[in-house]
Amino acid sequence: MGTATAPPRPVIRQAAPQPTRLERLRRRGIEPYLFTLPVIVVFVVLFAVPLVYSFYYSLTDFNGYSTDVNFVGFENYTTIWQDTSMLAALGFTLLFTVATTVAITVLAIPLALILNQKFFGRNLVRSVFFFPSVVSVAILGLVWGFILAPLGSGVINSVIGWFGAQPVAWLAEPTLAKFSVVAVAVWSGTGWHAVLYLAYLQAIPSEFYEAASIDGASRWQRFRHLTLPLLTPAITISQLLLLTGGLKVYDLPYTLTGGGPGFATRTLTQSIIENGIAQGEVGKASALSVVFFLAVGLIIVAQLALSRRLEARFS
Amino acid sequence: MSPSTATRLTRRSLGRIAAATAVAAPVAGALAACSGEDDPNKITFLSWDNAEVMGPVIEQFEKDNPDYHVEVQYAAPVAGYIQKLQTQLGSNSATDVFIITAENKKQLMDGAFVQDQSGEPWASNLNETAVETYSRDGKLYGSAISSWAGGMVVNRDLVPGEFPADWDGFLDLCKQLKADGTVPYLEAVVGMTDTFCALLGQQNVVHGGTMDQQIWDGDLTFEEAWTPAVKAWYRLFEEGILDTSAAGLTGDVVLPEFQQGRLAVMTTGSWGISGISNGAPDLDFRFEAVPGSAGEPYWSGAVSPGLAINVKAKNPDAAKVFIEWMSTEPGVSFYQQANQFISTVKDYEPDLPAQLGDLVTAVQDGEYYLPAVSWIDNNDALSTEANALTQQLATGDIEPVDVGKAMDAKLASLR
Repeated sequence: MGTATAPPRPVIRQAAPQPTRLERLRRRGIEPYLFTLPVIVVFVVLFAVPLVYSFYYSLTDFNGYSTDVNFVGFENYTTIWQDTSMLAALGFTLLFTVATTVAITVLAIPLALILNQKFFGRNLVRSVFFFPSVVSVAILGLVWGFILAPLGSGVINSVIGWFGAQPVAWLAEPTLAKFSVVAVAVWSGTGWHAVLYLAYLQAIPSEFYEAASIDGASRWQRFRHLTLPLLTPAITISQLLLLTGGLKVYDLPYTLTGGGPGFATRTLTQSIIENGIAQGEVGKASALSVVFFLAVGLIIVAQLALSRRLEARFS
Repeated sequence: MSPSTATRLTRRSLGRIAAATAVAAPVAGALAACSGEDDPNKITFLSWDNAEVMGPVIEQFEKDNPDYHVEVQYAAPVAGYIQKLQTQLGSNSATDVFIITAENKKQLMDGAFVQDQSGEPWASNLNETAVETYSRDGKLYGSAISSWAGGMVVNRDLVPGEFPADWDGFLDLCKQLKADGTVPYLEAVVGMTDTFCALLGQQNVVHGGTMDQQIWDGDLTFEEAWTPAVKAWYRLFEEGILDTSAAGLTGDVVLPEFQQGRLAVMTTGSWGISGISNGAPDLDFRFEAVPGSAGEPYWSGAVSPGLAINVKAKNPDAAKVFIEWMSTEPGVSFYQQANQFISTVKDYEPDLPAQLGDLVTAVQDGEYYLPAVSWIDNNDALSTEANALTQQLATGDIEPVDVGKAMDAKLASLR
């Protein structure tokens, strides 16, 4: 009788006990926390603490100097909506944000496509388009102030004067002033965003285009069904930067028009600074800052959600 | 023998911890490092002027007073300066000496942040208008050694005769110049202009020099007090001397027009004289008061910012030495010669350019007016409103009578 070989005993793998949170933390060590400590400290000191203070001040009549601070509830939040200058600032800031985001996106993508082509002097042309974003926006505002000067001696008015046209009050007429500020912002920002798109374009494998060409896709079809979907992550980043930059814009309108004529090109940031610092209405300015923070947060969350949907749809 | 795994891990961990500590330590150090030694001869000063202007003045002070040294911080006026000072006062880190000005004097006095200088020896050397500007209840909170005024600057080649003393005469002169093909007059309406303020100053004289006090007391309204002056100013637009483009002009755009002889009359403050002369050394020009619409010709202007002593100054005695030097002949003469401002102290007579004309006497006699300085409170909120209204008037969006009404509404909303 042969020896019956006993079947191997099934190895019962005992599930390792789940480490407790404390154990996980101990295994991980303290190094990650030490490495992130500087960032956490900077975040808390420069962002979280001021934000909490802003909310606190928004509920008070603090004037920036006096230690005699009184709680006024949500009075500042109701006051800001009654101030015509703040409403004007809100209107222009939204207009500026939407107009620059749309215009720069619409111009930067075709520009990036052109700059991605091979042609003589390509690097020089890329540099020329990128240059306006290198110079300080405040300096650009001052220079454009001379270019758009409403006198006949202004640069643009001199040019149109050669054709017999009368000088145009670019910065003196409210609608033209708004248009001028947006136009200068678009001029200075398009090159930078084109370079961002260019970086993404260069990451698209050329085989995709070769395959599409073999399949008989036209230039438009290649752009619509290949380039644009693959550029969606770049569009998300570009628009996020444009939206956040647009909503907190201050330096360009301030140096170009000072917020005028009247309140035509006043921005929310200018209102916050002038109310909070120059006018000593820290409570009111803080209320505006809190509202502004929440509005920016909502807009950015909405934009990111929309972009993710688009990315998912195209991918 | 190779080290055991445990030893290697320990070494690696130690290395990581050391690296992480190296990253974190500077942050902790930077946050902790906030202390300094006490030196009774050190004066800390938050300067309104930049280093180019104030640097040589400080050097001269230290040369004249070798026992003392000044530690200067700089902040650009106006908003940047106010913000920095506000932050420093809020955190008890303000300098011993800082600037008191129209934009912050109420808050500084209300909050008792500044020391009384009324009994100090240099106080009697200050001009009466300067003392009045920075005083409350008989106490002096700032020492201002100069004032400025603004008015019209006239190209004497284009306007060789007598400059009109009345507003109608000025408008006629402008029309005549325009008919002859000369650009008669430009002003950058970035807000309340020198002309606008001087016309309001004439109204202030009509109301006995207490126009703003009467408005604040409820005995007068902005609409009643301002409308005649606003209407007079608006005639510049109604009669075709200025157009809406004035709201888009800046002083930098207007100045070359004047320097190159293409413009007969412009407006600027007394500080603008060096800018005109530097760009056009051969230009024959002269400052003139804004012609009278309601009374005599008048100037816009104000007392310059004053020096204040922090009520919590670490070295108040040293601060007083500095302010005394700055407010009397040795400091004033050095500062004046370097910067060509119009000093108003009693023990020093400045040597000023002849082109300033009657402006110097007007400044020394306090014959000028600036609404933002004269208003009793809420100066900046009202200034912002008035500047915007002036631009809206220039662009034709509102009528002259609307300006005073809107100012009344703004003042009511601020109370």
